[in-house]
Amino acid sequence: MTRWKLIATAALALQLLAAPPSLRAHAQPEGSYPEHGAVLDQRPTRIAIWFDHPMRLTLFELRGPAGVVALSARPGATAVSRFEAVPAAPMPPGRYTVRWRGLAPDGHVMADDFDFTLR
Amino acid sequence: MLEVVAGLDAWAWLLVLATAGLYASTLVAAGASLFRLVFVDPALPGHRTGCRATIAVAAWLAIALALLLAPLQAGHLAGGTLAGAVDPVLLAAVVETGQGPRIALLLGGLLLLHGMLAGPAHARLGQAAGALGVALIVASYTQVGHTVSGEPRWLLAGLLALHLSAVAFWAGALIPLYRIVGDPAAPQQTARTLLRFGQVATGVVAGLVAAAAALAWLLLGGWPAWPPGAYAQALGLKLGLLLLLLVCAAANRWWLVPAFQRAQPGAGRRLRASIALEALLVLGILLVTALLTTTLPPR
Repeated sequence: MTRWKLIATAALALQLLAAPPSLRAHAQPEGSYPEHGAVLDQRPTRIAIWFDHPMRLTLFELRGPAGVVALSARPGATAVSRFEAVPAAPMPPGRYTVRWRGLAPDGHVMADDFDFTLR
Repeated sequence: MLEVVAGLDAWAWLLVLATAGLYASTLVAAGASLFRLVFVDPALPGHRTGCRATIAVAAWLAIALALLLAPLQAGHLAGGTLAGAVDPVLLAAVVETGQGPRIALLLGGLLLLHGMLAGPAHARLGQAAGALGVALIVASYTQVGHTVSGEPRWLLAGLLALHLSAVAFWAGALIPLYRIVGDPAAPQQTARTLLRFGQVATGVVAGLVAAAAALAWLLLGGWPAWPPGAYAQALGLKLGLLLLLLVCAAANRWWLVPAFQRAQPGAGRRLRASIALEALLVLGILLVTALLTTTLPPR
């Protein structure tokens, strides 16, 4: 077998192997509550995020001037299109950041955060 | 893009650097195998390309980084913690996506590349194993990421495979080329290899650029909005580095290699410096690519 035949055979094997078996969605965040940059006069009744496709959330953390704020729910083992939780601890005025991480079905690790201010 | 990069924590940087290292080591291992397959006859005594050592070192570095990838991703998913890196639930979540098949194909391909190290007695069998190894490595990259989530996925996966094969051919040839240009033992054979490489590389680079342009068009869905988002900015940076690389390659093809073939004084030194610059640009491109694939979604 010549080296060019070898390369052609490998290219054929590649063609058979390269295509993934199924479409795996790439989930994107579509919105959050509170919105990024929002200024609130009252403490939010819930903290939420939603996606265009189900996302396996692995981290959802609210941090404010007094540190991490306990939430009523934690991300579970299944992919969700929407996740929300209620702050379960006092929230003094100040700037808050929600940090989240997730795994899209296509294997893409997603990481982002959104901020809001409580007056 | 700068805002996204500035916001990365230490663990995310570790993931980006490990991913870039994995890209570089797999491309060098696969590319040096292709170089050996196309330009080196193991039955003939020839110049010292260093291909065997390059393949072995790069393949084992890639194996180590591939094994680290899932724990690094799990740790990143937990917010950048060591506890997350060893959390069996998070590790399983990572492997259940395309990352599992990707790592399996990559490890299989990297082990098969060791066929390229076989002596003359088993050279043909070893070359067949090596060629299959290259195919597995390229296929591994089509199991995850943006080409998996877009349509038409056969076209996207095929374009990515073509792009990566061409990148491996080019990037993996740099170390052997650098070595043979500096080897005074067989200048005529070196000149012949450089000439053949230049002929083959012209078509390969054209395929690389065409596949990259088609992929960018399909992933972005046309021209990016203005001002461009972080993903399009990073793609633009990658394109800028690629243009510099093309200038370097053109200088080699039409100026530095002919000067080397005419045995002009200092031609070898200038050609080696240009090849080293190409390698640096390739590393820059791989770092931007790692940022694109690990932190920035196409918007």
